[in-house]
Amino acid sequence: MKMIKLALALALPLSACAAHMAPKELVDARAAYDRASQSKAPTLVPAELHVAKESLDVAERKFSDDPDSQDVIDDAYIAMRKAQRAEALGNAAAATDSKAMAERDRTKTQEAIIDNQQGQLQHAQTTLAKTHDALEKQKEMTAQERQARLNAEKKASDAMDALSKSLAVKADTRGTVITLSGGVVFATGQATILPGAQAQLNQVADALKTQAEHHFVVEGHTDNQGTDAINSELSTKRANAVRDYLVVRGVASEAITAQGFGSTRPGGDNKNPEGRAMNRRVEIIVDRPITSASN
Amino acid sequence: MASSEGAIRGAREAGADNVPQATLYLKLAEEQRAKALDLVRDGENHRATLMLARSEADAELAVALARASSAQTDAMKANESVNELKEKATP
Repeated sequence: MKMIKLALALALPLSACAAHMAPKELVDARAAYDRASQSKAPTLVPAELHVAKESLDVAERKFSDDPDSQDVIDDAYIAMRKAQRAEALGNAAAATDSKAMAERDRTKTQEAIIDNQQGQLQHAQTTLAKTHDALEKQKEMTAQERQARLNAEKKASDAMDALSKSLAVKADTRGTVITLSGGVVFATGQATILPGAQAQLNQVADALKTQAEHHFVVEGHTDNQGTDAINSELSTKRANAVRDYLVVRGVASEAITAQGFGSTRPGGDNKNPEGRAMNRRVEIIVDRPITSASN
Repeated sequence: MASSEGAIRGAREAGADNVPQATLYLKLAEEQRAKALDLVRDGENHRATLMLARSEADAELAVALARASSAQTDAMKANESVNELKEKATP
């Protein structure tokens, strides 16, 4: 019997609720609140969501007190709008956060770009400075080399000028020609350099050593006395003797060659003693320098 | 009465007229305010009060939607701008 009474007591309110279904506005308000609760609103605008909840609670209480009241519909309508508002304000706050994050990101990116550009600029400046230094060194070296060359050329010119005061020095198509008298340098028929000629040859050697980038040819010549064979051999020996002496005195061996011409290239008339004396000679030809010729 | 009118004015100032979603609620707010005035004239003050509250809730929602739209547009532009900058910065 007690069980029946209890069942009846529970069934009566349930049947009353079943008779009063919630109006559409209240159902919509509940759904709107649920949606807002699952949005960004609880995290970003909790106060606004709380307002929506209070509004919904008012509507629920009125529905509970008087389900048929028009107030329920109006309050549910208002609760729905407040829930929608909370959701919208949550979205606005999220967008504001996103914008702020993008602006921070932009600032960092700009700083990185500036750092990178500064790095590139610094690298370019360093490279430019190195290039400038190298260029300055190159210019300095070039100036030094030019000065050294001018000095060497002056020294060579001075040496040849000094030589021309004691020996016959002339210029022809072969270059500069230094002539040594055969009678001074060698005994008759011999190819051994006389001691008295060594001072002259030393002077020649010193002058040749100043002639950088030149090639020298020692030419031996005789008069027409004796056979051509003997004269050719003698002139060759004399040319070699002078060449060897000059090399011993410091002239670069690879820069000097020797050749005998016998009596084939006379410088004077073989018919008289003076002419024959002129023909007995050793000539040292200083080639025109290749570099000077090209300049 | 004044709070409803202020809310509607606030919605317009927030740019609700230019945001389609917000415009709908702004229009509802104005309609419900008009109904409330009719109810006042008919002496139904209690219903009028609730109608004004509905109007105010609509207007406030219009404000929130206008703000959200504006904030979302700003955020989108800011993100596009930073992405563009990153693309330019990438060799």
